[in-house]
Amino acid sequence: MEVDKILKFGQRFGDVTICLTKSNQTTVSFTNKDVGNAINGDSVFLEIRISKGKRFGYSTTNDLTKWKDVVLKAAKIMKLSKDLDLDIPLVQNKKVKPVEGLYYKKVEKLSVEDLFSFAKALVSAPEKLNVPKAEVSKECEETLFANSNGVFLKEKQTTFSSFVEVSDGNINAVDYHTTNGLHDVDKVLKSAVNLCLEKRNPKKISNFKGDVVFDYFAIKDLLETVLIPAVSADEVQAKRSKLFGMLGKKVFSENLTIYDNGRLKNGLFSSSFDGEGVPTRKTIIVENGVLKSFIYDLFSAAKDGVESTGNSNGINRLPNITPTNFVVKKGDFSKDELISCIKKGIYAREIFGDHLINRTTGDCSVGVEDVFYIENGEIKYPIKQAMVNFNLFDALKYVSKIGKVIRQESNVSAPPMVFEGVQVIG
Amino acid sequence: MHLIKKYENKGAEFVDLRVTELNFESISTDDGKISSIQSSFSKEFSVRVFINGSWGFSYCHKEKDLKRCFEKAFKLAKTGSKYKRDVFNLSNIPRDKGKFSSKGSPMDVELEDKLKVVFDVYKEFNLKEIVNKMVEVSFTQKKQEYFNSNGSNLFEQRNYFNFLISITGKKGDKIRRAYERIGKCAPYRVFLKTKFSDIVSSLQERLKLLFVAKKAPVGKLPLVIDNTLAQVFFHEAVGHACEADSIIEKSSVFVGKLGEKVAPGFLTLRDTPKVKHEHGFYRYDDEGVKGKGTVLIKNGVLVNYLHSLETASKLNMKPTGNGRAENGSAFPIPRMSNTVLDNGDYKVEELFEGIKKGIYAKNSSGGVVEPTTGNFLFNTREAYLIENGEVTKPLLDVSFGGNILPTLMKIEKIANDQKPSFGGWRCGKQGQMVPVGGASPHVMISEAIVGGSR
Repeated sequence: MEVDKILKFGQRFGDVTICLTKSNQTTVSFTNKDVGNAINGDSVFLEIRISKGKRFGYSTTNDLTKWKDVVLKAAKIMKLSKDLDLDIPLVQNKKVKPVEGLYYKKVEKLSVEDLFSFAKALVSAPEKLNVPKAEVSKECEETLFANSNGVFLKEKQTTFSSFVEVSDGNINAVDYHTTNGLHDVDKVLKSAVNLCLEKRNPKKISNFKGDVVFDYFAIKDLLETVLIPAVSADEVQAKRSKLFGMLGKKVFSENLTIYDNGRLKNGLFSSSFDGEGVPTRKTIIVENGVLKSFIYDLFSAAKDGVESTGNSNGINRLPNITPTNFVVKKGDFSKDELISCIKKGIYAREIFGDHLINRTTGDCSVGVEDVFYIENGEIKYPIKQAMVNFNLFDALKYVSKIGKVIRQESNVSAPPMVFEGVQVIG
Repeated sequence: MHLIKKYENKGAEFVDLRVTELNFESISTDDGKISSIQSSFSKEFSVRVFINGSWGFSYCHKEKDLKRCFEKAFKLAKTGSKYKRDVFNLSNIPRDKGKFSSKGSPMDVELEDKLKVVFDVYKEFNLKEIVNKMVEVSFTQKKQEYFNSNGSNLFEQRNYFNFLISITGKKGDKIRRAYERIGKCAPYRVFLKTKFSDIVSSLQERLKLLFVAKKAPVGKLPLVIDNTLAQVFFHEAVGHACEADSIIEKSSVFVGKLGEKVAPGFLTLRDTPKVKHEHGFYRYDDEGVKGKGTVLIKNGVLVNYLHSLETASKLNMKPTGNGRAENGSAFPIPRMSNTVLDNGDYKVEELFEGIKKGIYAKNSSGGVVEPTTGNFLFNTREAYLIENGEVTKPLLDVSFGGNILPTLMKIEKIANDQKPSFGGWRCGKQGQMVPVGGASPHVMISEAIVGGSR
């Protein structure tokens, strides 16, 4: 497929933006420590946007021979669209610097046999434990971005993922990890095995108000559901965000510094350019509790008269904002120290039902998983079932104890934290 | 298909091919302005080869790569079979032929006409507290051909529409949001018959109530759930635990419970794709098995699971037509279609009788279940306090949870007002989303953990 041809053909209708993604993915999965299936496939996704003045049209296909139809459809959609508030911004031809640690040849070259050996390692739990499910996969994705302003960008990224679920017959525990390069799958298995053993003989608790250590998985879910939309410029401009009008003001505890970094080395969501071809950067969002910036794509940035922060999620809609690597600066406390400050409370590794959180108000009334009861600074026993009830915006105002180890899962890279005065329902 | 024959001759025990075409169109509007119109077309070829209990699966997007796709799937299955420990055979492989096309494709309707419907909805909003309104619609047409080495040759076409109407209001410092999401597997003319004015006025009423709504109490309370929430409840809390892969992986509370009483004797629950226009409608699953419907709980006794070809073979049971895949690059796994609870003997109002203090929970913004532990959690979109048998004050949306087995036994009354939910639900499992639905009457549960309002 020739990009030039599409650009040329499309230009008779307006400005043209093309994004072409090609990927090859291989997955090997095991059930009950035994082979399940092996999957390999090729995908391709061609996106075309035609824009003129305040209007645009967008259409896609995975049949590259049909590119002409896609251009015509996008042009037709543009014609039917209504005017947006602003002219559709188009990125200029700027220098883009590559980001380190996105592509690993070792991962791309992994054979099916290699993946089977990783999967075998992943199911080699002690005999008394079962592994109901284990999965190893690798993916190589190439993105091409071009527009009629002469921009032509390319990037290649690999990902390697492992997932394992361990069971002793009553208690199940999972762990997973995704990286651009290879990672140690034995560690993933070990962590799931340990968690499974720690969770044995859970007890019931009754309701109380106490402190909660949320580990990074839980923090990730909370930030993803509530805070990320609240700092996305489109939500702010639509006045749906609780942080509307708060720029420059202290919104959270002075212990909190949060930034978005599209150029994080080995970051899962790093790239040298964003979904609109804008070079990525680091953006401080909250510094010592003070709200410094929102995250922007080209369209929302033009609306506020600022520069895009390189947070476009793609050319399919306007605005369209996503975090890259959303990082919470680490604190000083080890996990044991976080636990040792608590008189009565719980440790919760994961949130259960994060999509049930109220995004607008930040009110969380959710279940927690992999939960342990804490009394007088010590973990006493695992808890069978619990829910927690608190407001995330309020909790972030008072957070003082932040962990010193951060881990990235999906877009968020965060340390564990203690939220005080949370209603725990047993 | 000569390629299927070729690999059968090479030693494949079973081969199948799916050719999936998806046409999709969506219109999103925000405060009366178009935020996006999208259209997409995709075609995928998916080949599965089964050898010695091991599956090889390969997919591609070009017809000319199909040969290579078969070869890859064969090699993947061969490699897997080298590591395979517990070999099993596939049984009850279907052999069916037929062509099933639904009339009234949304793709035959011009975008202009669809836009007009969307903008007409905006004329209905008139509440002054509204600070933001959104209307989104999408249309999908799915065409799929299916072939297997047992001689099956099927074609099915289905049409879907989905829409979302959302309003956010501000009164004082209170920001509240109310929304309605509806989806059906139905022709375009059914979409046109939607009474948008009724939906908008009920949303506005709900928003008004949310401004005066109080936080829900916390603790163990009796609960009456409406048709939609009950359907989501049975999908999450019971349906998932019946999916046979979770039985094989021993990660379901229903392991070893077949033939046992798991619910009160007046409760019968089934899964069936054959609910007219409901989101989980289909004729054949993605493994060419006819979806006839399956009784899961009969008069309180667990009588069946939901199967793919693989799980049915492994457990020596009959396939139930629940092997579903999101798209051409996904492997079919046991999934629900429509979860249907049979009517009980009570009138709706009789469900509230005798409740001193409880919650009337309506509609759902989703739910989750952890099949291993049986813990589940739901959120409502609308809720009221029940005091001395009467529905009284409005509450902010409530979340409630519990554990499947004890909660099922706590179901005290089932009403006789069964209705499909048309909630346009999509259910996620192992990274695959499929359209699901169901029908249910009102249900009264004597005790659930109410987690307050979010």
